[in-house]
Amino acid sequence: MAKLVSAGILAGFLMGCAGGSTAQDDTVYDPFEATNRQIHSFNKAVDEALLGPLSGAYAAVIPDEFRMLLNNGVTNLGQPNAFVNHVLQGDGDDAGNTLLRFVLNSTIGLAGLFDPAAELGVFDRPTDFGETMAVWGVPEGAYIELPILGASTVRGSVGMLVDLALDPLNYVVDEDQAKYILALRALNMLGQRHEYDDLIQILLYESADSYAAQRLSYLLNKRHAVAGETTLDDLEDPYAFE
Amino acid sequence: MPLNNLNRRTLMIGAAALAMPMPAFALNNSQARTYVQSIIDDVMETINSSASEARIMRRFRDVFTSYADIPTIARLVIGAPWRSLSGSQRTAFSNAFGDYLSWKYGRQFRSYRGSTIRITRVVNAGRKGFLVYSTVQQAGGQPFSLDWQVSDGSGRTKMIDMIIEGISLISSEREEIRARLASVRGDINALTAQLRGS
Repeated sequence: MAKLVSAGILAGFLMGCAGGSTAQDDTVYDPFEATNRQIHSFNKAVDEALLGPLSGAYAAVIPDEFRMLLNNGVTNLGQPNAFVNHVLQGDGDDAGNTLLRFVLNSTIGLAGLFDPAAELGVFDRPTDFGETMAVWGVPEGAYIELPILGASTVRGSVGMLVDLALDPLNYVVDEDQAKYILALRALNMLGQRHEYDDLIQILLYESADSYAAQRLSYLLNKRHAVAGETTLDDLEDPYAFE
Repeated sequence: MPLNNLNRRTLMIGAAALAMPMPAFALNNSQARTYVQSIIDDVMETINSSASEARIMRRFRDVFTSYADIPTIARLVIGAPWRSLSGSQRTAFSNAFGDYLSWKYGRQFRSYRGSTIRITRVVNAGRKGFLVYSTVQQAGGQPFSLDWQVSDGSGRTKMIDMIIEGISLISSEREEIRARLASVRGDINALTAQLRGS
Protein backbone atom coordinates (compact mmCIF):
# COMPACT_ATOMS: atom_id res chain seq x y z
CA MET A 1 0.00 0.00 0.00
CA ALA A 2 2.73 2.45 1.00
CA LYS A 3 4.61 1.65 -2.18
CA LEU A 4 1.51 2.27 -4.26
CA VAL A 5 0.87 5.61 -2.58
CA SER A 6 4.42 6.89 -2.98
CA ALA A 7 4.40 5.84 -6.62
CA GLY A 8 1.18 7.81 -6.95
CA ILE A 9 2.69 10.81 -5.22
CA LEU A 10 5.69 10.75 -7.53
CA ALA A 11 3.64 10.31 -10.69
CA GLY A 12 1.23 13.04 -9.66
CA PHE A 13 4.04 15.35 -8.72
CA LEU A 14 5.64 14.98 -12.12
CA MET A 15 2.29 15.62 -13.79
CA GLY A 16 1.77 18.66 -11.61
CA CYS A 17 5.17 20.00 -12.58
CA ALA A 18 4.39 19.37 -16.22
CA GLY A 19 1.52 21.81 -15.81
CA GLY A 20 -1.19 19.14 -15.94
CA SER A 21 -3.41 21.04 -13.54
CA THR A 22 -3.99 24.65 -12.75
CA ALA A 23 -6.99 23.95 -10.59
CA GLN A 24 -9.26 26.84 -9.67
CA ASP A 25 -12.50 27.21 -7.73
CA ASP A 26 -14.54 23.98 -7.95
CA THR A 27 -12.21 22.17 -10.30
CA VAL A 28 -11.13 18.78 -9.13
CA TYR A 29 -8.15 16.94 -10.61
CA ASP A 30 -8.43 13.36 -9.46
CA PRO A 31 -6.72 10.86 -11.78
CA PHE A 32 -6.25 8.36 -8.90
CA GLU A 33 -9.94 8.38 -7.99
CA ALA A 34 -10.36 4.59 -8.00
CA THR A 35 -7.46 4.07 -5.57
CA ASN A 36 -8.46 7.09 -3.53
CA ARG A 37 -11.96 5.72 -3.12
CA GLN A 38 -10.60 2.41 -1.81
CA ILE A 39 -8.48 4.28 0.73
CA HIS A 40 -11.52 6.37 1.61
CA SER A 41 -13.57 3.27 2.39
CA PHE A 42 -10.73 2.02 4.55
CA ASN A 43 -10.42 5.37 6.38
CA LYS A 44 -14.15 5.54 6.90
CA ALA A 45 -14.21 2.02 8.30
CA VAL A 46 -11.36 2.90 10.68
CA ASP A 47 -13.19 6.04 11.78
CA GLU A 48 -16.45 4.19 12.29
CA ALA A 49 -14.98 1.23 14.16
CA LEU A 50 -12.11 2.88 15.97
CA LEU A 51 -11.51 6.64 15.89
CA GLY A 52 -15.13 7.72 16.39
CA PRO A 53 -15.83 5.44 19.39
CA LEU A 54 -12.34 6.00 20.87
CA SER A 55 -12.64 9.78 20.63
CA GLY A 56 -16.06 9.58 22.30
CA ALA A 57 -14.62 7.50 25.13
CA TYR A 58 -11.60 9.79 25.42
CA ALA A 59 -13.84 12.86 25.69
CA ALA A 60 -16.05 11.11 28.25
CA VAL A 61 -13.11 10.18 30.47
CA ILE A 62 -10.79 13.15 30.04
CA PRO A 63 -12.21 16.50 31.19
CA ASP A 64 -12.57 19.45 28.79
CA GLU A 65 -9.88 21.45 30.58
CA PHE A 66 -7.26 18.78 30.15
CA ARG A 67 -8.10 18.30 26.48
CA MET A 68 -7.69 22.05 25.99
CA LEU A 69 -4.30 22.05 27.74
CA LEU A 70 -3.16 19.20 25.51
CA ASN A 71 -4.36 20.96 22.38
CA ASN A 72 -2.62 24.17 23.46
CA GLY A 73 0.61 22.28 24.12
CA VAL A 74 0.54 20.40 20.83
CA THR A 75 -0.33 23.57 18.89
CA ASN A 76 2.53 25.40 20.60
CA LEU A 77 5.00 22.68 19.60
CA GLY A 78 3.92 23.27 15.99
CA GLN A 79 4.74 26.99 16.07
CA PRO A 80 8.47 26.73 15.22
CA ASN A 81 7.64 24.82 12.05
CA ALA A 82 4.88 27.31 11.17
CA PHE A 83 7.36 30.13 11.76
CA VAL A 84 9.89 28.60 9.34
CA ASN A 85 7.20 28.22 6.69
CA HIS A 86 5.91 31.77 7.11
CA VAL A 87 9.50 32.97 6.63
CA LEU A 88 9.91 30.78 3.53
CA GLN A 89 6.67 32.31 2.24
CA GLY A 90 8.11 35.77 2.80
CA ASP A 91 5.24 36.63 5.12
CA GLY A 92 6.80 38.84 7.79
CA ASP A 93 3.48 39.62 9.45
CA ASP A 94 2.51 35.98 10.00
CA ALA A 95 6.08 35.03 10.95
CA GLY A 96 6.23 37.78 13.58
CA ASN A 97 2.79 36.84 14.89
CA THR A 98 3.84 33.17 15.16
CA LEU A 99 7.11 34.00 16.91
CA LEU A 100 5.33 36.27 19.38
CA ARG A 101 2.79 33.54 20.10
CA PHE A 102 5.49 30.97 20.67
CA VAL A 103 7.46 33.23 23.02
CA LEU A 104 4.39 34.33 25.02
CA ASN A 105 2.84 30.89 25.32
CA SER A 106 6.11 29.08 26.06
CA THR A 107 6.87 31.46 28.94
CA ILE A 108 3.84 32.97 30.67
CA GLY A 109 1.71 30.23 29.06
CA LEU A 110 3.67 27.63 31.04
CA ALA A 111 5.39 25.70 28.26
CA GLY A 112 2.44 26.25 25.95
CA LEU A 113 -0.21 24.62 28.14
CA PHE A 114 -2.11 27.90 28.27
CA ASP A 115 -2.80 30.34 25.47
CA PRO A 116 -2.34 33.87 26.84
CA ALA A 117 -1.41 35.03 23.32
CA ALA A 118 -4.97 34.38 22.11
CA GLU A 119 -6.29 36.46 25.02
CA LEU A 120 -4.19 39.30 23.61
CA GLY A 121 -5.62 38.72 20.12
CA VAL A 122 -2.48 36.98 18.83
CA PHE A 123 -4.17 33.94 17.28
CA ASP A 124 -2.69 30.86 15.69
CA ARG A 125 -1.86 31.24 12.01
CA PRO A 126 -1.32 27.66 10.97
CA THR A 127 0.60 26.87 7.81
CA ASP A 128 2.76 24.11 6.36
CA PHE A 129 5.23 23.41 3.59
CA GLY A 130 2.40 22.51 1.21
CA GLU A 131 1.23 26.13 1.50
CA THR A 132 4.81 27.35 1.14
CA MET A 133 5.05 25.49 -2.17
CA ALA A 134 1.72 27.03 -3.19
CA VAL A 135 3.14 30.49 -2.51
CA TRP A 136 6.14 29.56 -4.63
CA GLY A 137 3.80 28.73 -7.50
CA VAL A 138 3.80 24.92 -7.30
CA PRO A 139 0.35 23.71 -8.49
CA GLU A 140 -1.65 21.54 -6.07
CA GLY A 141 -1.46 18.54 -8.39
CA ALA A 142 -3.71 15.52 -8.14
CA TYR A 143 -6.04 14.96 -5.21
CA ILE A 144 -4.89 12.16 -2.92
CA GLU A 145 -6.59 10.53 0.02
CA LEU A 146 -3.91 9.18 2.35
CA PRO A 147 -4.49 6.22 4.66
CA ILE A 148 -5.43 7.50 8.16
CA LEU A 149 -4.12 11.02 7.40
CA GLY A 150 -7.04 11.65 5.05
CA ALA A 151 -7.57 14.29 2.36
CA SER A 152 -4.52 15.77 0.66
CA THR A 153 -3.03 16.57 -2.72
CA VAL A 154 0.31 15.72 -4.28
CA ARG A 155 1.59 19.10 -3.12
CA GLY A 156 0.13 18.63 0.35
CA SER A 157 1.62 15.13 0.71
CA VAL A 158 5.08 16.21 -0.40
CA GLY A 159 4.71 19.16 2.00
CA MET A 160 3.99 16.81 4.91
CA LEU A 161 7.19 14.86 4.22
CA VAL A 162 9.22 18.05 3.95
CA ASP A 163 7.70 19.39 7.19
CA LEU A 164 8.83 16.23 8.98
CA ALA A 165 12.41 16.95 7.93
CA LEU A 166 12.19 20.73 8.29
CA ASP A 167 10.71 20.93 11.79
CA PRO A 168 13.14 22.86 14.04
CA LEU A 169 11.87 20.73 16.91
CA ASN A 170 13.94 17.86 15.43
CA TYR A 171 17.12 19.64 16.45
CA VAL A 172 16.17 20.17 20.10
CA VAL A 173 14.42 16.99 21.16
CA ASP A 174 16.04 13.59 21.58
CA GLU A 175 14.60 10.34 20.27
CA ASP A 176 12.62 9.52 23.41
CA GLN A 177 11.12 12.99 23.57
CA ALA A 178 10.20 12.74 19.90
CA LYS A 179 8.25 9.54 20.60
CA TYR A 180 6.54 11.20 23.52
CA ILE A 181 5.54 14.19 21.37
CA LEU A 182 4.23 11.86 18.67
CA ALA A 183 2.05 10.11 21.28
CA LEU A 184 0.70 13.46 22.51
CA ARG A 185 -0.10 14.47 18.93
CA ALA A 186 -1.94 11.20 18.35
CA LEU A 187 -3.92 11.71 21.57
CA ASN A 188 -4.73 15.26 20.57
CA MET A 189 -5.99 13.98 17.20
CA LEU A 190 -8.60 11.98 19.13
CA GLY A 191 -9.57 15.17 20.96
CA GLN A 192 -9.88 17.01 17.66
CA ARG A 193 -11.94 14.16 16.19
CA HIS A 194 -14.35 14.72 19.08
CA GLU A 195 -14.24 18.51 18.75
CA TYR A 196 -15.30 18.35 15.10
CA ASP A 197 -17.70 15.44 15.52
CA ASP A 198 -20.72 17.35 14.12
CA LEU A 199 -18.87 18.31 10.95
CA ILE A 200 -17.48 14.81 10.50
CA GLN A 201 -20.95 13.33 10.93
CA ILE A 202 -22.32 15.54 8.16
CA LEU A 203 -19.35 15.04 5.87
CA LEU A 204 -18.68 11.32 6.30
CA TYR A 205 -21.97 9.82 7.39
CA GLU A 206 -24.75 12.00 6.01
CA SER A 207 -23.40 12.90 2.58
CA ALA A 208 -24.69 11.04 -0.46
CA ASP A 209 -21.07 10.61 -1.62
CA SER A 210 -18.77 11.13 1.35
CA TYR A 211 -15.65 10.74 -0.77
CA ALA A 212 -16.65 13.59 -3.09
CA ALA A 213 -17.89 15.72 -0.18
CA GLN A 214 -14.61 15.39 1.71
CA ARG A 215 -12.58 16.01 -1.44
CA LEU A 216 -14.44 19.21 -2.26
CA SER A 217 -14.32 20.55 1.31
CA TYR A 218 -10.61 19.88 1.55
CA LEU A 219 -9.78 21.50 -1.79
CA LEU A 220 -11.94 24.60 -1.24
CA ASN A 221 -10.62 25.07 2.28
CA LYS A 222 -7.00 24.65 1.19
CA ARG A 223 -7.36 27.05 -1.75
CA HIS A 224 -8.92 29.56 0.62
CA ALA A 225 -6.00 29.17 3.06
CA VAL A 226 -3.51 29.71 0.23
CA ALA A 227 -5.36 32.76 -1.15
CA GLY A 228 -5.73 34.15 2.38
CA GLU A 229 -9.37 35.10 1.84
CA THR A 230 -12.41 34.56 -0.35
CA THR A 231 -11.91 36.33 -3.67
CA LEU A 232 -14.46 37.71 -6.11
CA ASP A 233 -13.52 34.92 -8.54
CA ASP A 234 -14.80 32.39 -5.99
CA LEU A 235 -18.32 33.81 -6.22
CA GLU A 236 -21.04 32.52 -8.51
CA ASP A 237 -22.77 34.83 -10.92
CA PRO A 238 -26.26 34.12 -9.54
CA TYR A 239 -28.13 35.29 -12.61
CA ALA A 240 -25.78 33.99 -15.29
CA PHE A 241 -28.47 31.66 -16.67
CA GLU A 242 -32.19 31.41 -16.13
CA MET B 1 -41.12 38.15 20.38
CA PRO B 2 -37.85 37.67 18.47
CA LEU B 3 -39.90 36.69 15.47
CA ASN B 4 -41.81 39.93 15.65
CA ASN B 5 -38.53 41.74 15.68
CA LEU B 6 -37.41 39.80 12.69
CA ASN B 7 -40.58 40.50 10.77
CA ARG B 8 -40.37 44.16 11.55
CA ARG B 9 -36.80 44.35 10.40
CA THR B 10 -37.48 42.37 7.26
CA LEU B 11 -40.44 44.60 6.59
CA MET B 12 -38.37 47.72 7.05
CA ILE B 13 -35.69 46.43 4.72
CA GLY B 14 -38.41 45.48 2.25
CA ALA B 15 -39.98 48.92 2.51
CA ALA B 16 -36.58 50.58 2.07
CA ALA B 17 -35.99 48.49 -1.03
CA LEU B 18 -39.39 49.43 -2.45
CA ALA B 19 -38.79 53.11 -1.80
CA MET B 20 -35.62 53.03 -3.86
CA PRO B 21 -35.57 53.33 -7.63
CA MET B 22 -35.53 49.80 -9.06
CA PRO B 23 -32.64 49.52 -11.54
CA ALA B 24 -30.83 46.18 -11.33
CA PHE B 25 -27.91 46.83 -8.96
CA ALA B 26 -29.27 49.46 -6.61
CA LEU B 27 -27.70 48.00 -3.50
CA ASN B 28 -24.68 49.83 -2.12
CA ASN B 29 -21.86 48.80 0.26
CA SER B 30 -23.43 50.09 3.42
CA GLN B 31 -26.84 48.55 2.64
CA ALA B 32 -25.16 45.21 1.94
CA ARG B 33 -23.40 45.49 5.30
CA THR B 34 -26.64 46.40 7.10
CA TYR B 35 -28.43 43.50 5.46
CA VAL B 36 -25.79 40.96 6.54
CA GLN B 37 -25.68 42.50 10.01
CA SER B 38 -29.40 41.86 10.35
CA ILE B 39 -28.92 38.22 9.22
CA ILE B 40 -26.20 37.83 11.86
CA ASP B 41 -28.33 39.49 14.57
CA ASP B 42 -31.38 37.36 13.83
CA VAL B 43 -29.38 34.13 13.56
CA MET B 44 -27.48 34.78 16.80
CA GLU B 45 -30.64 35.74 18.65
CA THR B 46 -32.19 32.47 17.48
CA ILE B 47 -29.32 30.13 18.34
CA ASN B 48 -28.57 31.79 21.67
CA SER B 49 -32.19 31.54 22.79
CA SER B 50 -33.02 29.29 25.72
CA ALA B 51 -35.99 27.75 23.86
CA SER B 52 -36.13 24.02 23.17
CA GLU B 53 -33.95 22.54 20.45
CA ALA B 54 -36.96 21.89 18.21
CA ARG B 55 -38.20 25.45 18.59
CA ILE B 56 -34.78 26.89 17.85
CA MET B 57 -34.53 24.83 14.67
CA ARG B 58 -37.99 25.97 13.57
CA ARG B 59 -37.06 29.60 14.21
CA PHE B 60 -33.79 29.14 12.39
CA ARG B 61 -35.72 27.85 9.39
CA ASP B 62 -37.93 30.95 9.38
CA VAL B 63 -34.91 33.26 9.65
CA PHE B 64 -32.83 31.38 7.11
CA THR B 65 -35.54 31.05 4.47
CA SER B 66 -36.52 34.71 4.83
CA TYR B 67 -32.99 35.91 4.04
CA ALA B 68 -31.66 33.25 1.65
CA ASP B 69 -32.74 33.34 -1.99
CA ILE B 70 -33.73 29.67 -1.92
CA PRO B 71 -35.11 29.44 -5.50
CA THR B 72 -31.91 31.00 -6.91
CA ILE B 73 -29.69 28.72 -4.81
CA ALA B 74 -31.82 25.74 -5.91
CA ARG B 75 -31.40 26.72 -9.58
CA LEU B 76 -27.62 27.15 -9.21
CA VAL B 77 -27.30 23.82 -7.42
CA ILE B 78 -29.42 21.83 -9.90
CA GLY B 79 -27.79 23.46 -12.94
CA ALA B 80 -28.87 22.73 -16.50
CA PRO B 81 -31.69 20.23 -15.64
CA TRP B 82 -33.50 23.17 -13.92
CA ARG B 83 -34.59 24.37 -17.38
CA SER B 84 -36.66 21.28 -18.03
CA LEU B 85 -38.54 21.41 -14.69
CA SER B 86 -42.14 22.60 -14.54
CA GLY B 87 -43.10 25.56 -12.37
CA SER B 88 -44.66 23.33 -9.73
CA GLN B 89 -41.64 21.00 -9.68
CA ARG B 90 -39.40 24.02 -9.12
CA THR B 91 -41.57 25.30 -6.28
CA ALA B 92 -41.87 21.89 -4.62
CA PHE B 93 -38.13 21.29 -4.88
CA SER B 94 -37.27 24.80 -3.60
CA ASN B 95 -39.51 24.34 -0.55
CA ALA B 96 -38.09 20.94 0.35
CA PHE B 97 -34.56 22.17 -0.35
CA GLY B 98 -35.11 25.19 1.93
CA ASP B 99 -36.17 22.91 4.79
CA TYR B 100 -33.20 20.62 4.21
CA LEU B 101 -30.73 23.55 4.13
CA SER B 102 -32.26 25.05 7.28
CA TRP B 103 -31.87 21.79 9.15
CA LYS B 104 -28.30 21.24 7.99
CA TYR B 105 -27.03 24.78 8.56
CA GLY B 106 -29.13 25.27 11.67
CA ARG B 107 -27.17 22.45 13.28
CA GLN B 108 -23.93 24.03 12.16
CA PHE B 109 -24.90 27.46 13.50
CA ARG B 110 -25.99 25.90 16.78
CA SER B 111 -22.32 25.11 17.39
CA TYR B 112 -21.58 28.85 17.09
CA ARG B 113 -23.70 29.50 20.18
CA GLY B 114 -22.17 32.23 22.31
CA SER B 115 -19.82 33.36 19.53
CA THR B 116 -19.34 36.88 18.28
CA ILE B 117 -19.64 37.41 14.52
CA ARG B 118 -18.10 40.63 13.35
CA ILE B 119 -18.29 42.10 9.83
CA THR B 120 -14.82 43.17 8.73
CA ARG B 121 -15.17 44.36 5.13
CA VAL B 122 -17.58 44.77 2.22
CA VAL B 123 -16.53 44.49 -1.43
CA ASN B 124 -18.66 45.34 -4.46
CA ALA B 125 -18.63 42.26 -6.72
CA GLY B 126 -20.42 43.91 -9.66
CA ARG B 127 -22.83 41.50 -11.38
CA LYS B 128 -22.30 39.01 -8.56
CA GLY B 129 -23.59 41.43 -5.92
CA PHE B 130 -21.61 42.11 -2.75
CA LEU B 131 -19.11 40.08 -0.79
CA VAL B 132 -19.36 40.75 2.95
CA TYR B 133 -16.51 39.37 5.06
CA SER B 134 -17.08 38.43 8.68
CA THR B 135 -15.14 36.63 11.41
CA VAL B 136 -16.58 34.17 13.90
CA GLN B 137 -14.93 34.30 17.30
CA GLN B 138 -15.88 31.46 19.61
CA ALA B 139 -15.08 31.68 23.29
CA GLY B 140 -11.60 30.25 23.73
CA GLY B 141 -11.45 29.25 20.09
CA GLN B 142 -9.60 30.11 16.95
CA PRO B 143 -11.40 32.77 14.85
CA PHE B 144 -12.56 31.64 11.42
CA SER B 145 -13.95 33.34 8.36
CA LEU B 146 -17.61 33.41 7.37
CA ASP B 147 -18.26 35.32 4.16
CA TRP B 148 -21.60 36.25 2.64
CA GLN B 149 -22.65 36.92 -0.91
CA VAL B 150 -25.73 39.13 -1.15
CA SER B 151 -27.41 40.47 -4.25
CA ASP B 152 -30.53 42.40 -5.20
CA GLY B 153 -30.40 41.06 -8.75
CA SER B 154 -33.77 39.36 -8.26
CA GLY B 155 -35.35 42.71 -7.35
CA ARG B 156 -35.06 42.11 -3.62
CA THR B 157 -31.94 42.00 -1.48
CA LYS B 158 -31.19 38.37 -0.63
CA MET B 159 -28.38 36.13 0.54
CA ILE B 160 -27.00 34.00 -2.29
CA ASP B 161 -24.12 32.17 -0.67
CA MET B 162 -22.43 31.64 2.68
CA ILE B 163 -18.74 30.67 2.67
CA ILE B 164 -17.23 29.13 5.80
CA GLU B 165 -13.41 29.05 5.68
CA GLY B 166 -13.55 28.88 1.89
CA ILE B 167 -16.23 26.18 1.75
CA SER B 168 -19.23 27.62 -0.05
CA LEU B 169 -22.78 26.47 0.59
CA ILE B 170 -23.55 26.49 -3.14
CA SER B 171 -20.46 24.44 -4.06
CA SER B 172 -21.00 21.83 -1.37
CA GLU B 173 -24.72 21.53 -1.99
CA ARG B 174 -24.16 21.28 -5.74
CA GLU B 175 -21.95 18.27 -5.04
CA GLU B 176 -24.42 16.79 -2.55
CA ILE B 177 -27.63 17.40 -4.48
CA ARG B 178 -26.16 16.13 -7.75
CA ALA B 179 -24.97 12.96 -6.01
CA ARG B 180 -28.44 12.48 -4.54
CA LEU B 181 -30.10 13.20 -7.88
CA ALA B 182 -27.86 10.61 -9.54
CA SER B 183 -28.81 8.04 -6.90
CA VAL B 184 -32.51 8.40 -7.85
CA ARG B 185 -31.61 8.33 -11.57
CA GLY B 186 -32.33 12.02 -12.09
CA ASP B 187 -35.92 11.88 -10.82
CA ILE B 188 -36.47 15.33 -9.31
CA ASN B 189 -39.80 14.34 -7.72
CA ALA B 190 -38.10 11.48 -5.88
CA LEU B 191 -35.33 13.81 -4.71
CA THR B 192 -37.90 16.37 -3.53
CA ALA B 193 -39.68 13.66 -1.53
CA GLN B 194 -36.34 12.52 -0.08
CA LEU B 195 -35.40 16.06 1.02
CA ARG B 196 -38.84 16.65 2.49
CA GLY B 197 -38.39 13.59 4.64
CA SER B 198 -34.98 14.70 5.93
